[in-house]
Amino acid sequence: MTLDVHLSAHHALLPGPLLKDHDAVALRRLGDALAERLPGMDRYSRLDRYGRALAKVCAEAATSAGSLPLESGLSVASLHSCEETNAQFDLELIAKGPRTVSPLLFPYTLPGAAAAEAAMHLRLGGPYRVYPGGADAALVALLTAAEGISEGEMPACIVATSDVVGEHTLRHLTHGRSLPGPSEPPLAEAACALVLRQASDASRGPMLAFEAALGPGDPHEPELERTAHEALERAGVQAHEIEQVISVTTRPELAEHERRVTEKITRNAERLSLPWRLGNAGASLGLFALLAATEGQGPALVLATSGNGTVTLVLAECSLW
Amino acid sequence: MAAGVYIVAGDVLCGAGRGVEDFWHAMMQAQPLQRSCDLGDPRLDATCVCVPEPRTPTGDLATSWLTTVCSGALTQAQDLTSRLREPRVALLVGSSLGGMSLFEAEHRRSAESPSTSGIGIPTGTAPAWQALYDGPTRAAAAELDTRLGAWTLNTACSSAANALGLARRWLQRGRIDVAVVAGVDVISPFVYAGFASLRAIDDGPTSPFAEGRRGLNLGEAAVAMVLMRGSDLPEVTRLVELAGYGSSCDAHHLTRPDASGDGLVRAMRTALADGRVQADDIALLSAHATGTPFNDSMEGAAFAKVFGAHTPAMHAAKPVVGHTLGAAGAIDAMVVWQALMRHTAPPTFRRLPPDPTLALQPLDRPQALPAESYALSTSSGFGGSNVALLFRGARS
Repeated sequence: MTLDVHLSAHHALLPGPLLKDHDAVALRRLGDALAERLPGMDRYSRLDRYGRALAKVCAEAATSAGSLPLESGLSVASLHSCEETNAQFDLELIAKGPRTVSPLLFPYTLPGAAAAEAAMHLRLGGPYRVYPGGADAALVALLTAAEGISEGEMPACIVATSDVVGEHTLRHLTHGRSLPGPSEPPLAEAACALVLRQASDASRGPMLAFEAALGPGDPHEPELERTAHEALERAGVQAHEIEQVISVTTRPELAEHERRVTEKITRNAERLSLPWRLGNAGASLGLFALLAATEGQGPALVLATSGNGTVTLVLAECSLW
Repeated sequence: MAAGVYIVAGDVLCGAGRGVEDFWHAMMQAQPLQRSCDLGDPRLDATCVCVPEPRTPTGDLATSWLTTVCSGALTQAQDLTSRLREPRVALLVGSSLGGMSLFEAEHRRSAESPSTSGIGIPTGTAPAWQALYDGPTRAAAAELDTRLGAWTLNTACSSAANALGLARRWLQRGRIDVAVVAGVDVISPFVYAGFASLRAIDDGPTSPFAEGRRGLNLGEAAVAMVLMRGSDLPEVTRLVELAGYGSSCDAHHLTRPDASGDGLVRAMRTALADGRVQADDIALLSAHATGTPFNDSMEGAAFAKVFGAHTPAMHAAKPVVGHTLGAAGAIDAMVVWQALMRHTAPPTFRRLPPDPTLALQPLDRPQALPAESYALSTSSGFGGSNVALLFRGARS
């Protein structure tokens, strides 16, 4: 039995063109959209770029969706979240010392601070959850939002992601020898928000029916195959019905495992690797994958694998097809 | 009707010691365990924190402690989990800081800060991902057999409570067979200075719901519990059920809770409705009770609205083990689990007289609980997150 929700609205900030910074790191940054002033968002002056991007996509999606009840929730995922604010606060702490550091920035050193600001601005008083992690975490955020809506926990939910690559993040990745290699997708920035509503809210947006299965981090092929079969079974879709396979996995060796498994299971499906289209855009790749699936012709399989876990999502039905 | 979900094992490492028995003994003694601690910054004077002893790091403390308690809890549950053929095990972790200690260490080295060493600040270069908010989760999962992955929730001080709620949902939906639910947070100069800058810290043992209360004491903990569906368990082991879950957002202020308590009321009523019980059925209330003026007033207002004239036995864990941030919800769940198993509500340490404006007050001596009691645990966090968990103790 699938999770059935309406996709009431969405808003995305996509990565810009590929550029190289002064250290020759290839990066696709968000464009000038963040420079635009959002109505009623003077309160957001202390948010860093991650926070402003998250707040912007939430606000734009909510505006498109129309009014949301107070009991509506917020489900957020981000890989790097507020790292730049953390670095800024730590520099102040180093410079001024613990007795005189300003309290103004500390509350923003939480991944959920930006989400909380969005909740205040949009008056969202329902369940509120933040999942640190990449595209797999975004699919968990999406899954739990849909579960909550289908169980009557909330009438609607904004599912949102944001990842930016600031100075500190770049330095951190460089120091940890974790910058993408030449065979990997370049770093990218992005943000996305979807508004999901109850299936009974018939007037609001295309209807989606999906389910998902969970698997281990860094999976071997048998584990990937098991997870894919479980997702198909949960969604009530036969493997041969899959029209599109969308991968959001950024590590080449895991992506190769996925390719072999899905070719074995879904033989004739069209394949799309979003990181190679958009760059390694963190958690947002998970939501972009769902949107890409809605633009297809039929049932789609979305795969997200990471060191934490695997999420395989099957979009069984979309009223746009 | 959805399957019942039961707590079958647990382990804890905190200022009260290691293991459930030490933990429960400390709760029943109800004496503060706060002490001074060198957090690694010579300018920082952390005189009243509650940290495990000894506190000697080998690598990242959060990862090390998380792995230890998760392994401990899984070992305790082995007889039950081994009854299932290839159980699908997932790890769900609530943490507000994640790999922050590693972040801090690296950042200070790169900033050439004088405070680059000391207890809790790891040396060496860890993989970049381990310093992220889900870093310890991923590192711990690599040591455990989590066939269904490892996921982190971060809603500040309600993180672990939310992780418990998510575990219950996934077990009921049949997505997983065994949930290892954990909470972990480690204090660092960054965190201590942050709370101190907000003037939220009491330099003596905290006194929740008291007149003249001055703030919280920070604490560290790693807590893990194993949850399974009742249908997979022998009846004799179905002792404490996680029977309901409610979550809400104040949508009010980033650090200050909505004084009306309405957000927490929504979460509490959702949990009660989820478990199909009334407020009058609650025998034990485990409050978030940080000891700050605003939090305790908010909780008092919420409790008055939900309970009215009913007075459940109330407990606050933070005077003993400190405010363990993202792990706090798991600490409180551990108290409730043991209280329902032992049919005893523990007392709460009290340093100051009760606040006369708050009708419901923590117990100052142990109280017997009837068999098959219901308990409610509440957690709130920065950003306005509120979580309520409903527990049911089985007939003995």
